[in-house]
Amino acid sequence: MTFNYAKMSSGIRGLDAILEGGYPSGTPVLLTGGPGTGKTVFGLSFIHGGLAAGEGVVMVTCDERPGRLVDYMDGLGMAGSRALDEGRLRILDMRPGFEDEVVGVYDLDVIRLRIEGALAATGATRLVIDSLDNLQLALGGDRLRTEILALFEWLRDAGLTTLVTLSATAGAGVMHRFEEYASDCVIQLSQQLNERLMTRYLWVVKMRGAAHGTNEYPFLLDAGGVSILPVTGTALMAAAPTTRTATGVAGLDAMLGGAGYLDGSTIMVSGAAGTGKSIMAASLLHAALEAGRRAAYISLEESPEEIRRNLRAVGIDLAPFLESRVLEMHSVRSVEMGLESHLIRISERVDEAAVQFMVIDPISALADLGSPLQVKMMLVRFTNRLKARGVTLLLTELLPDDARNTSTMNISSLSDVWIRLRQVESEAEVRRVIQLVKARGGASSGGLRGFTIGASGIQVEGS
Amino acid sequence: MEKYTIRLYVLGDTPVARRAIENLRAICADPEVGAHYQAEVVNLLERPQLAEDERIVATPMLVKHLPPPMRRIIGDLSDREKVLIGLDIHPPPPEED
Repeated sequence: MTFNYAKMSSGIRGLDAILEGGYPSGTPVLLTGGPGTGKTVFGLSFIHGGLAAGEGVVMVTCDERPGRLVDYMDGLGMAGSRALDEGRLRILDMRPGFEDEVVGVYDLDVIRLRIEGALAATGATRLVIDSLDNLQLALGGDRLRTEILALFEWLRDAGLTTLVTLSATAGAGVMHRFEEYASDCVIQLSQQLNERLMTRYLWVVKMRGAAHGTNEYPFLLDAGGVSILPVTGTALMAAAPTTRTATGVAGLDAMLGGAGYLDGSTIMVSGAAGTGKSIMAASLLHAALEAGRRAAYISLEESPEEIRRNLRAVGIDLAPFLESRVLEMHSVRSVEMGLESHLIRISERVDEAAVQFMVIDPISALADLGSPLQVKMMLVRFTNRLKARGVTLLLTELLPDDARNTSTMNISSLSDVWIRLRQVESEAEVRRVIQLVKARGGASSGGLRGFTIGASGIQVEGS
Repeated sequence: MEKYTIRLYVLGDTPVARRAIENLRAICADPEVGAHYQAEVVNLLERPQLAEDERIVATPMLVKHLPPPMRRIIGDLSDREKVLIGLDIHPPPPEED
């Protein structure tokens, strides 16, 4: 049996998708995570979401100075100081005095009094408390648990959508379990250091009576706030394109059944060094641009200048498309960021620039940034997201010379079209061979064909 | 001689608030304390802005601003010794016989 809870936007697009709408309305939401996992930024994003929707918002800070939080919001491009001036944002300074002594019985009713006053002044229905553990440190004891439970009960009765953050420090385990019972929605943040690169993860531990994504989702924390890259099963079904685009390689179009590939396909071009992967990718890119698509070329190895020079030698000129801004080229060194960071940035670029055709050359440069399973899961999520947006994705994969027909990244199952390029030595000559290993949604020849790369690009034999 | 003011913040007329007021009265009844300090009780329901100004998160709370150091004690003040130590007010040592 499931209940339908009203949802309130978290102010973070990707998180709203994972929570299927946002935080459950009118109840406390518990956000836990160690120091530096970004709990405060989630709080500020929730505040910003409310302010952007014209609401009033109240924040209780037990950790940072109110002035610093406002600076932080302004720095993230959020409506901090302006909303404060307009009276739509109230920040209650509840940083405890760590010098304070506790002698005897106390209660936290004054917190309610202060929150009520601020709610009345701003008309807010959303509240952020960041972070509860400072109260725990300052006051401590069994008494505090009872009082915090009472506070949660009151927040629920008052119908406030409250984001409460809590540090996941080792000693606080008992406290956590306790609060988790009092909260309908529990989200955990964590961070891991892999290959000297920091990756942050979000996990929805609990969401009472409602659907939510159950995976661990990587997220980014940068100058724009929080970015999360979710994919849901339903997103997969969103777009089933039926239009086709020619590859620009006559023989290859014939192998694909005559009219090219389906738009929104994931196309993988695999091959050892020097087999012509980048030129093959550029041929498809050029044809897509000629067909009026907006495109982006992400190079993980060479600079855009090198790529353009190499392509001009085989008769492919990208300059006019760069000038008219229907093509953008980016060069990213794979070691600069974690895998998730790369893929999240690329997807955001797709959204911003309304890209319809994207080349990532070579995707195998990302393989070293995590375990094979991690890399594959991340790429599944990434390709699904692009597919849901109807973007044609062209990935090149560098295979070691001794790889046979297999994809070393084990990601061939992600692709709709898999093209394998090889150089075959026979007698005194080296022949280039193309094989269409897989072509979902279209007739395919399956066989091997020879091809040449000349001053006018790629020519597949027998076409 | 001018006396310093120590302030007890309470929230409403609750059993905890009444106990704290009672305990504070007993502490101030000590001539050594009473000679230098006078106590004042503030109900935050009547003056909620003071909860903001003093950044109060729990009540009852006893605050001593002067003389330095500033000291704050949370709770119903049920342990007299701890309150005096906490306020940095030292009761006279017991008489030697």
